[in-house]
Amino acid sequence: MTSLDALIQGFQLAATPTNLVAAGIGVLLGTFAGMLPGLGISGTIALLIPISFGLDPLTALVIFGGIYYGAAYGGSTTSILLNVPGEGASVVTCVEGYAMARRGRAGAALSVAALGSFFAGMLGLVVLVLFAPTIAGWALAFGPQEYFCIALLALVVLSGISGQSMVQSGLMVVVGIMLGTIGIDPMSGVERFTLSSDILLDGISFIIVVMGVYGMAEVLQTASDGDAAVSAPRVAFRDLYPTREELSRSLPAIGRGSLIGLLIGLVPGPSGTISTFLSYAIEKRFSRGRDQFGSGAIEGVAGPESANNGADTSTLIPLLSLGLPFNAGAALMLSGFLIHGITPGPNLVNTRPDLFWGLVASLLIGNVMLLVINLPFVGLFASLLRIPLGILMPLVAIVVMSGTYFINNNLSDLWLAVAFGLAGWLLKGAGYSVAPLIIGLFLGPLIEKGFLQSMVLADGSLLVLMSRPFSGLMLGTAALFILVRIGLALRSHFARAPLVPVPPR
Amino acid sequence: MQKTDRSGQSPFLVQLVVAVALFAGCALYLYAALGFSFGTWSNPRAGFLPRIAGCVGVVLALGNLLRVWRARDTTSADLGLQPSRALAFLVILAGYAALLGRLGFLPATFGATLALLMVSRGMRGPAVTVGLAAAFSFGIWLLFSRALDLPLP
Repeated sequence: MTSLDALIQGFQLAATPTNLVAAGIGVLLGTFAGMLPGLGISGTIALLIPISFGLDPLTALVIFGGIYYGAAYGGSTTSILLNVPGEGASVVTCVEGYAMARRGRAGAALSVAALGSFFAGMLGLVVLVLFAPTIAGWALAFGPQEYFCIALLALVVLSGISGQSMVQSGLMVVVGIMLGTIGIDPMSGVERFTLSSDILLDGISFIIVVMGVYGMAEVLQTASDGDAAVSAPRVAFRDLYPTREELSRSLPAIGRGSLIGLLIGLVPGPSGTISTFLSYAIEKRFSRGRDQFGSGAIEGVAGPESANNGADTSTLIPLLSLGLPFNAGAALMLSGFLIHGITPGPNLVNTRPDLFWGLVASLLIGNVMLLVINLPFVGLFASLLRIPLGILMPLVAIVVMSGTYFINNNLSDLWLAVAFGLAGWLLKGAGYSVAPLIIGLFLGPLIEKGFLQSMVLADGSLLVLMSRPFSGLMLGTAALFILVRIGLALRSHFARAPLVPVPPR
Repeated sequence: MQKTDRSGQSPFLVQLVVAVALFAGCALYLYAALGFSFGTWSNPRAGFLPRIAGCVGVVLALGNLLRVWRARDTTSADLGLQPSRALAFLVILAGYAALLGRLGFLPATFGATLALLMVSRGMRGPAVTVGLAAAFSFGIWLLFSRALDLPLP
């Protein structure tokens, strides 16, 4: 069966009336929650995970597909209308998008952002359809060495490019790994770091931590930010049409941004943020409207928004084919899958193709729904921004708490969510990114299992990690990355220091 | 969110407290990890990764603490204008966690929602606040117990 046949079957499963309604609900809720200032795509998914409880797994996947794309678009709406970036990836959209809004072109900016997001999402999904099954097929031959080396490379790269100092991100990764060791050791059956508590015996659930450090921490952050006055401009449907010139300037930027996002999304780390900044820099240098940058150049919206969505989509390729989340958004999607007993990776592609292709089809449906539903309702979304956060956040907090309970039907999990909410709020408040912690928590047990199994199989010889071509390549790349980072740090240090000793006065 | 001038707390103090807490946590973890057997390279035991992670964590946490102390960067810390409101949220949510099993879903959710709305001061007038808390509690009770058929505490 070809990928196309499988995709058609996936559509037959995903495009039922129930699932189409679910996709619409996912897109609407994802957009609305993604518009809440400060949430971003990760926080949005964390908040909305509870609405999928009790649903059929495929319907839940369809909802997640809608939420994923809706959340990304919701962030850009807030950036354009309010000049408030929901996350790092929306910062450059604020610059040009808000400037366009002030010139009365908010509608054009919103529609070009939606078009770019749609095109980039579709391109990413085509690449996913073409390559994810192939990669998953290769991954079936992977042993513990390969998984250890891929996970290690992901953590090393993540430590280096997560937007904060290498010490900070490395520390967050290690703290995540530490949290992952709590519970019963899978190899020896020994209890570790449980403090003799039943709550910690099964380890700390990845999903509870995600709900805490994203969902709960965002609620606390917003609560402590006070009563931000929101004044969103009104946007009518007729304002959404870009002029012919705006459209002709946007299309090349959308193409360039999509390709940039597609490539950067395959690299572990905050691919959305990196790709948007890269796209912005390229548009500022090469686009036709480069003279207008800073005062509302439409290329500065079209390129970065396409890059962001392209990265968000292509980061699903390693998630679905290898089961490895390379950034926080993918980790959040993963937690949604795990709640419904779906473990992404080569086994999903090969043993449950119905779910895999159903998910791919649901992502395509979610992307189309985004365009069909969001643009006509953009005026409504803009008016929703006027609801005071003082009303919304208490309700969101209760939804997060209820959702945390329903994950395992365990009241103890609520205490963990509150504790991780506090930790996430303090860490973010002190300037730490919690994404490396989440990825470390997920990849830590994989690294431990892969390394220990490799050592037992090879009788303690570290050479086994380099004896297979793929694991050797991954390990070599990780070593090279560390050396380059150290070299850059030394160069930067010595560049600051005076080359010639200053004579004493 | 855009960084603005914050007056509620000292940014450096926040950074220092978090850096010290991270160092203390890593040191405690390493101390506990030393209680597990490392094993050998050919037969690694339960303490293998925890000891390595503990050592790396302590070194990084110490480096981080020194970085915070030396940089005294007051621009990248931000706990918001009203951290006391976030703490009040935390207390209410902890109370919710404690009372959910005893009171049941609907009464506990109503109480917690009402308390959170009062703390966040998003509503005008007590009647509207009580009305919203009641409507929201009943709404999510209907969603979880009837529409999604989930077992409630």
